Amino acid sequence: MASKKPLAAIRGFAMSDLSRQYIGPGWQLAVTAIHRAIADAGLKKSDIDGLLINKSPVASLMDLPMDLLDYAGLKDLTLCSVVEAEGSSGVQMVQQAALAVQAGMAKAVVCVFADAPIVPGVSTQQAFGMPLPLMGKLGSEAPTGLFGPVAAYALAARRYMHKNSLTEDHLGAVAVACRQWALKNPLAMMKKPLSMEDHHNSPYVVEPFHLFDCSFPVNGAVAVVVTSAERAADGPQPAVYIHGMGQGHRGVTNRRGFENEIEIGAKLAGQGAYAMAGVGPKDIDCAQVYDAFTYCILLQLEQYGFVEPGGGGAFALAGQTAPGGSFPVNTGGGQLSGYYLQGGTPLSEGVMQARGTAGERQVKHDLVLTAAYGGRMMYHACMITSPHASL
Amino acid sequence: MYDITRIKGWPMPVLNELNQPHFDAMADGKVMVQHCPDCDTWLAPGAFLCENCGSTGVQWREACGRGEIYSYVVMNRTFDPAFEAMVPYNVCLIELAEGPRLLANVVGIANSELAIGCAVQATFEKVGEGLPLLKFKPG
Repeated sequence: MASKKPLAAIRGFAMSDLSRQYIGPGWQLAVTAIHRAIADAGLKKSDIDGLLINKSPVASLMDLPMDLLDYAGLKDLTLCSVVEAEGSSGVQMVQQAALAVQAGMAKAVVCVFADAPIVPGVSTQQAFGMPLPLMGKLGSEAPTGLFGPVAAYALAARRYMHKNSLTEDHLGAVAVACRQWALKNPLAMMKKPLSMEDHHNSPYVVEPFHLFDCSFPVNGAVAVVVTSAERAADGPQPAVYIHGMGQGHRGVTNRRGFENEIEIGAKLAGQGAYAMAGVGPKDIDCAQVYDAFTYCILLQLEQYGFVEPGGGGAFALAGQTAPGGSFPVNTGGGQLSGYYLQGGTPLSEGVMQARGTAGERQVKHDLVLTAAYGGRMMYHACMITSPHASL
Repeated sequence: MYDITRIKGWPMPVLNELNQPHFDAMADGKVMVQHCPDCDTWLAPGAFLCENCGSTGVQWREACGRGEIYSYVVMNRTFDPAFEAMVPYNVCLIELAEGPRLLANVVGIANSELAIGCAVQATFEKVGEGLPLLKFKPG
């Protein structure tokens, strides 16, 4: 491993309450998480000079407005921006904050994601069930009836499963492993054990996806405070040092020769982060990845180099990502069994693991890879963190 | 998200110069996509420029209408009343012989018989209040 100074560090971290009920608008949840994260960092509001905001792509600007700084009572900021890169924004915010801190543009940047998709009278299916431009530029989703991210991802998963001769057992193994982790996480929404049989018996939403192949939306917010490595070292909480960051964006090419369902930008993002940190996939102890659907974990395991291409299914089916396995993945239950806060989900668990405060589910945490994506896995960002100021 | 509208009672994308020729051609029973004359690359609509060589001279051309299923799903619920009577219905990604991929429903086959690689050809069916829509059938 290389011996390089970290780029920046996470000094504070907190979440709002999480709920399947309406507990207030997104901005209110965001303010709660921001204030808790500042307190967690042992700082005052006046110490904060940067704010980065990430709203859900399907939420309105009203739900998480640019002037969140006023709602949160923040003043005299030298950095304030809405980061919009779909689900990859959660990690991208931390990357941008780290760069700003490195450049001296800000000393302590709060990054927040909040969402409140569940409101009375509107199901989560309705909230997310719009035609999405996930297939490219044509817009044939609406006339053919391809509604919602579940359908768009199911189409991708089918191709991936075909290519690698996977069955619903391989998808089910991912759901079962996430549930096993969730049972160890007090924050997780899913509290009942899940068997392979339960997975297979759950209704199809969009074939090949059963209900338990899909993530679990909640209302809630996640906030972190990013500072320099030096400033994080004297905080009340263990610092989470950021050693590597990467992004990868490949777009969608809808013609022969381009398998958008398999060749995603995560590979590029991972290569960038590994090079910056001076480590490789074999050095990583656990991964927290965006798992809106079961298939996504399998593919990211391959793209980030933890298994060979096509090897994700067998790896998960062998229980390697589950508690007791050789490579823990989504140790809080992820979005499938924990809570779906888009990029905020892997970010939150990544911080808890890197701090060593994950309780019963704590795993070896010298190096944690945290990854998020957006769109139909079009936009990728990842970072490599650790509790060590030098690697 | 993108904006949708209803044409003859059917959900459709808002038409513009990048996608309108594709949908207009359905009334004539034609599969219109785009083609780059500079590098001979066939493109799925709506391309503003050639994603292969960068040329801005892309043109609309008729495809042969034959292809194969690249991937498919079966919708077990829907979010739009237009599709309620069709549940469970398939949505397939069709790779045309020329190379571009299009989303379409495949008709004339049970959902359980769908398979990646299955040969299909274009057919046109009226939906809603008589809007011609490109679909595919085995063959």
